Amino acid sequence: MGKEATNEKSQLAHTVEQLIAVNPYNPDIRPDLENYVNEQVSSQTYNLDANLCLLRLYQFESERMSTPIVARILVKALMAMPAPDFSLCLFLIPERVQMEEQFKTLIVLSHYLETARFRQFWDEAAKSRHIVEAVSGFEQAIRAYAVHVLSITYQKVPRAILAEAINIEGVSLDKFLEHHVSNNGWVIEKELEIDESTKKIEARYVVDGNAALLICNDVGVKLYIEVKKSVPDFEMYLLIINTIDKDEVEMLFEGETGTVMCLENFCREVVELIGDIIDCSDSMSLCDVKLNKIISDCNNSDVKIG
Amino acid sequence: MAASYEYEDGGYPQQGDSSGSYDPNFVPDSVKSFVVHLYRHIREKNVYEIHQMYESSFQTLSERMFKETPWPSVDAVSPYVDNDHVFCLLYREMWFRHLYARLSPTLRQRIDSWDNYCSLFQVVLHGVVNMQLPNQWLWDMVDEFVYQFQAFCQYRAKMKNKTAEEIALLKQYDQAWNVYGVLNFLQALVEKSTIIQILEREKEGVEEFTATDGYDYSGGSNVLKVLGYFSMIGLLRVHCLLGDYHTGLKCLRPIDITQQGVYTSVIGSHITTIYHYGFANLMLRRYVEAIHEFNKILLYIYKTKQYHQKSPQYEQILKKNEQMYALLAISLSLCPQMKLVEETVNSQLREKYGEKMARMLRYDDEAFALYDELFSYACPKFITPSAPSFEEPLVNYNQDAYRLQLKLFLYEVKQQQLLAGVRTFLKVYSTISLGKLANYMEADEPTLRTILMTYKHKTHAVDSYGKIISNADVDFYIDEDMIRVVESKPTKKYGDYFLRQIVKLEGIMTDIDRIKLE
Repeated sequence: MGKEATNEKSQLAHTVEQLIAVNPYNPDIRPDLENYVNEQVSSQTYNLDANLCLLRLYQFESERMSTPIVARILVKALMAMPAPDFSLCLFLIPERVQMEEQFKTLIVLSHYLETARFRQFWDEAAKSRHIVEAVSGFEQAIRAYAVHVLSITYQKVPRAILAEAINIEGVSLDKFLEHHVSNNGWVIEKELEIDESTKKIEARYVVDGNAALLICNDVGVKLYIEVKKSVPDFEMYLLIINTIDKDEVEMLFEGETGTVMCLENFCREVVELIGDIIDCSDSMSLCDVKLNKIISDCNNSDVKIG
Repeated sequence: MAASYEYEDGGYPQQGDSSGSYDPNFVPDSVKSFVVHLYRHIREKNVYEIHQMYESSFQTLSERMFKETPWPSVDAVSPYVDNDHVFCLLYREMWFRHLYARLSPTLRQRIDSWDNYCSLFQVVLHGVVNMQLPNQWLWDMVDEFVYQFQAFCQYRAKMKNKTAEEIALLKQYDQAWNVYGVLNFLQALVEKSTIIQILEREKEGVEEFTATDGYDYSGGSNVLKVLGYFSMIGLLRVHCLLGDYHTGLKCLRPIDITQQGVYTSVIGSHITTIYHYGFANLMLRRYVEAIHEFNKILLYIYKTKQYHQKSPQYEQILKKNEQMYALLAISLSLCPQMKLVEETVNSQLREKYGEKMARMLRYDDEAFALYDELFSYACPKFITPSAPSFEEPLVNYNQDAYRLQLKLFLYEVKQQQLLAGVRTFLKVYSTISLGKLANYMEADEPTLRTILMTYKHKTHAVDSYGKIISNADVDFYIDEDMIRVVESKPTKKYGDYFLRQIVKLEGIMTDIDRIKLE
């Protein structure tokens, strides 16, 4: 769960992972696990399994518990939102420990994030800088979560709402947007001349690769293909195709450009079915898990936005 | 070490009135015949006969002769079985199981039972067991091992009324039922049996395991392999008892629960697996997954429970059945995906919890009380694994673990309390403006936006591969100031419903035919 860092693993990370694989129920690995928590904090990596393993050892021998380490684990777990890691950790921490002031604060912060009250979250976080600022990358991680929630809720996010959720305003916000437009395929509305009256395109982009790109109709497919042409690693996004528009049963795209794919709703099965599109060697084709082509030779289609 | 304890030296206090006549050294003829035959069948690897004796003869004899007393001591029966070391360990395992089920074990007996498991598992782990035992028995061993661990933790946590003698024993035998020991035995069985690799190789088609129900027909023993297999389920259960749902599910991952497998060959193991799997998913907010699996097993129990009426596990099956209906009621209240529930299960659910579920949707104090009630009734018996503090004053802490899990669960329910309201409105509109909905919800617009985002967040779950999936029955997106609703239209399955009604009607007609008018 959560997000694994892709950069080179450290020596310690390797050692700890091996220790957990060989003997997860061994009290002697506690010091290594504690060092590993500190390393995760400094190197902006994350390993939920190792952290749960440590909390388990604390649960077995509560007199050995180090509350600063527990606090760091909890902050890291908050940063893994929308994954439920924070709850997973709390399940293992005795209630009397949770009563301590710093943990109470973290629980309140988690509550604001879980209920999407970002304004209150940032206010509260500002009051508890000493806890959250000890972990680098905290703000970025929370922003990524906020953007995730916005992107699954809104078709178009009003600037003010975005500003409040990520706690960035003015010039910094412009820069933030600029960055996401160039790196993550965000679209600022004015620049994209889509006929708004159709209201059928629903494209979602999220900072980390977990979230989905939803395509409702052939305009969406065309947009997807267009973006894919210019951004080679655009495939990192899950593609979900559905027929949201209830009034007409619409073919997703023409028979001549490839196979027609029509799915009622983007339920779990669909996500699994098309989740593996990513592995195709031909950069311009879309395949399902069985490697049947969904779209073959896309270059034939006359693609224009709008 | 198995046979080294003296039972007659007063180590065990008397067990009520009837035990006054209990002589651990007296072996009635029927018991003599039982152990002699069982021993012979084990030596001859006659799994069918072993199973018969284990499942029915042992129960019949217990019912007839040992209703309120333990079976004869192992020392008394060992002369009839060539003093066979492994057989004696197996006999004692059954001896303790019978004692736990019918009487209340003393601390001394709990410790002795732990020692017996240690000896038994060590023998198995060293690979010197050359037997073929029924899956039912092997499952019962793992199941009982975890049960006795849980029972010990509960017992130890009730510190208030412990005698000085008991406390001295607890201190002296602090390794007995130690959580590290329990986990490491289960883990060692999984590893030593190489069951994970066996299951992998089975997928590649180069080894058989599931196809033979785990039995070894080429002269080998199934004991270590199958114990290793069931130990993965044991680990899932222990981790759930500790509140570590993520790790529990990870331990189960080598078993593909979407398929039939050795775990479905024993009803107790099947139910235990799905109960804990479903519960863990419920706590991880993967409601759809929980509903899916509860639905499947409840349907299975509904269809097959008649065949288990005579089984010693029958009561346990019914209990878990009821608990899983309660868990299903909770899951569906938080995530109303009724279309995932089969008609039979649905009608049972309505009968049992229909009225409560309607009240749970209201999210008032009464609704919270119902969530509390159902959760408390259906949750596993959570344990605190650490040793007690022996310092005065002695306090009970047997409820601590349960209270913590309950509190965190209700906290989650609270966070979702406004979502049922949103859902109701989304169901009746295809588009609605933010302003209008805010008005209905009696909230201002910024608050409504947070509620809508909470709805989105809570209806998305992160699956075991880290993918984010939607659990929503009614979905929407916000476009400018309008909320556009996307409802998946379920295809109604009339066939099922009509078939059931026809069967009912036929039943009534036969009943009517039978009535003779006087």
